[in-house]
Amino acid sequence: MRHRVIEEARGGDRRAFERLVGEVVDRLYGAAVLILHDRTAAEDAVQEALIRMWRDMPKLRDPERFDAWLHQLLVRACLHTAKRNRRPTVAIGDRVLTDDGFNLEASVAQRDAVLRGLRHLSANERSVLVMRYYLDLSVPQMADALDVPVGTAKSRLHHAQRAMRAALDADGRAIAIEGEPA
Amino acid sequence: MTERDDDLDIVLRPWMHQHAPDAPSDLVLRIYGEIETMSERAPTRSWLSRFAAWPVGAWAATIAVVAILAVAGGLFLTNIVRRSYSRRRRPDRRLELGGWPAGGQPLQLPSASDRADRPVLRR
Repeated sequence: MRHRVIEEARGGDRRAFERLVGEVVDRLYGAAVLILHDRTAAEDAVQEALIRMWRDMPKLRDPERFDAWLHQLLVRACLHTAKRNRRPTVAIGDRVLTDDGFNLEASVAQRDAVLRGLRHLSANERSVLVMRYYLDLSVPQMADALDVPVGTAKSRLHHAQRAMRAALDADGRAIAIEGEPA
Repeated sequence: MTERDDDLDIVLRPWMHQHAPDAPSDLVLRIYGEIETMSERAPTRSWLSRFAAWPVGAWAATIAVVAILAVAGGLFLTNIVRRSYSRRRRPDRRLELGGWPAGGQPLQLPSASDRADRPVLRR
């Protein structure tokens, strides 16, 4: 069914394209916000990715690769937007992630720790983690989306995980030290 | 996935799924609007509309180049016409001198003095 919709969208069918966009836009936007930590920049990135999707869809030879191709477009658009903006994410991270639309039921400590950990990473590292933990891509799928060999994707994921873990560990130690009695 | 990956998986996966927002509805509308504009523009792209879509700078440069070529071409053609016209009007001095017949230059044999002046090559 989805295969047919992709084929129709490839042929220039606007309705099929809009149906595909309706299916993927929330997921893409969520991923873009997590990578960029900025709603406006995320909107720009998703817009860029989806317009490129419409424009380049006739060139997509294998409809089976649609999702990987779309993730590739999104990650490229996010990295392009991040490079273009070069705004500090520290100041806007809190605002974005405490805006309405985010789940505030999660414990404040955990939310802050993950947020601080993500802030310490580059957009490149965050994009790898988002592909892994939000888009639920396997390493070969990530490699396909990043257009790199599987070994390179694995290495990037490993580095991003290590950086995130280090940031979380450092944050945990800082909280422990703050909590100790003087 | 290693054991160390699992702990990150336990923290990050639910966190990301909880904190990722949905796309605002105006974003989708904006994208559709942009694509609508692109689609309207794309199929009616005749050569004339392509020219019409040129930026002002490209137009100015094209007009300047065309104007320069037109002036240069005009001068070149004027020069050719002027030359051929003046040649036709000018009396042929060669005929006045009674030298050349209509077919071309008459054969002139070297005189004896010319031959005497010429150095003789010896082996």
